[in-house]
Amino acid sequence: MCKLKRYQRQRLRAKRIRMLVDLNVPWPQNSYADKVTPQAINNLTKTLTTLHTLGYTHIAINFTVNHSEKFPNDAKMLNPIDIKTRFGELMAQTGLKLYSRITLIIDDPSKGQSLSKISQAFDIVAALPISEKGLTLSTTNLDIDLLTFQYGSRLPTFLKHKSICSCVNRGVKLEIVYGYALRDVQARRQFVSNVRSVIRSSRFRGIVIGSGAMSPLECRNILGVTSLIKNLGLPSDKCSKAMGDLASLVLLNGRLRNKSHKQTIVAGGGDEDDNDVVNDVQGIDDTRTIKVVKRTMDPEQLGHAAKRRKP
Amino acid sequence: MVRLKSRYILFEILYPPADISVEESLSKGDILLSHHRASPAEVSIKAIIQEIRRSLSLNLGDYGSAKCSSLLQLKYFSNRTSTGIIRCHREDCDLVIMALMLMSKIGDVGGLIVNPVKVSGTIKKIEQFAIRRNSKILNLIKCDNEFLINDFKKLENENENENENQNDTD
Repeated sequence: MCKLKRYQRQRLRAKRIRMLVDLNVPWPQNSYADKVTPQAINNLTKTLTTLHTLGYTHIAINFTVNHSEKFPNDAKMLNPIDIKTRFGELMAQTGLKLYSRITLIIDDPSKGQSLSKISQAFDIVAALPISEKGLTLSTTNLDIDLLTFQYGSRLPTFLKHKSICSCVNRGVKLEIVYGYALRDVQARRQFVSNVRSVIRSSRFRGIVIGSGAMSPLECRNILGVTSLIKNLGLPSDKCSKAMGDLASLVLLNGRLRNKSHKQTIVAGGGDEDDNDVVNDVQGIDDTRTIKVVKRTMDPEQLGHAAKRRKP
Repeated sequence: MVRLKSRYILFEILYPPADISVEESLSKGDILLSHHRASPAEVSIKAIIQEIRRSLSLNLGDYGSAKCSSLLQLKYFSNRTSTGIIRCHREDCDLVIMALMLMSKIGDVGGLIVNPVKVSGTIKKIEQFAIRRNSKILNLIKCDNEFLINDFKKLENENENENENQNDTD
């Protein structure tokens, strides 16, 4: 019995290791008004293929936009990343799984708009505060999955344990973008100090790592990235989790936000016997077959939160 | 007496396709082929070691580079396959991997990624791993291009058949 359990656990672990997630590949558009050139798309495709060669399996394409900018009214226009038509062939040929992500640059909270509409259109919603007020807003009551910073320039304010940890306990993850370390000397310097303060203020909890690769040359594999982040002060077990488990949790959370009842039950889409919501290729919204998946409570993944809730 | 403990790092040099305007095929084998290329002659053992030292001193300063370079050797590098093995101190292994990761060019050759693949304690194991990994990649490429190879075979067979038929009629 014990042996069987151990075997199952090993299989589970092996399954988890196979997932390698990159949550941040920039989309070549800075606002809704910008035009997308075919060359930029080509560059993005090449970045994706390079990431595939380096062993990544799940990639989120990141559309960064200002929070104060007017969102289009048409629901179809909300998501300019047309993953199915643009990258459908790539996904079918290589088995990559692509997701869409929106990052809102938050400066002045009073000019912001409600996120309910925008979060319908994207798989992941992230916030990038560039002022102190923005940081307070995004750590307290914004409905987001990820909190990220501009690592190439100074952080908006000194990060406090209290606000960042409460944010992490709420389920929001912090993102480190290693692309800045590969650009120029100034950006690298700032990157190191910013990452250290993020790691310190979060007390090693809830950190995920993304690439932010503008070109194929800025992609690195897991071994290099873990050794870099390890040298910046994150314990090595958290490093390997940051690109696998925790990042896939972000993907799961984001997709369950729209398409589930209270984050536990999903109905619709995908293959019938495939219960894994994170790993399925088709996406939940396909109406071909109906799938009902109950999200399992894995105490390992819940970790800290599960322990705290015990009476 | 405590033995000198070292680590071996297997790395490869990837050349991602640079030209933005050219669209390339998206099949698995073609992607692999376009990234794994033979290195030019300028990427020699000497140039690589020099570049690692440079990257170490740029990123880690005098202290880090001196710490690492007490035992830093390039054991093997092949230009045909663009793979190599580095030997380093066990404690400084992370720093060397970090230096490899932060490299963006070797000598004057730019547009490459130095990709650390595996760390091991003995050179034998790392050689075995490299052989296994390369044969896996080769298999992938072969699988992908199988129908092409088969097509050639079919053509050859047809030609032979035709020839035989002609001989028969003669």
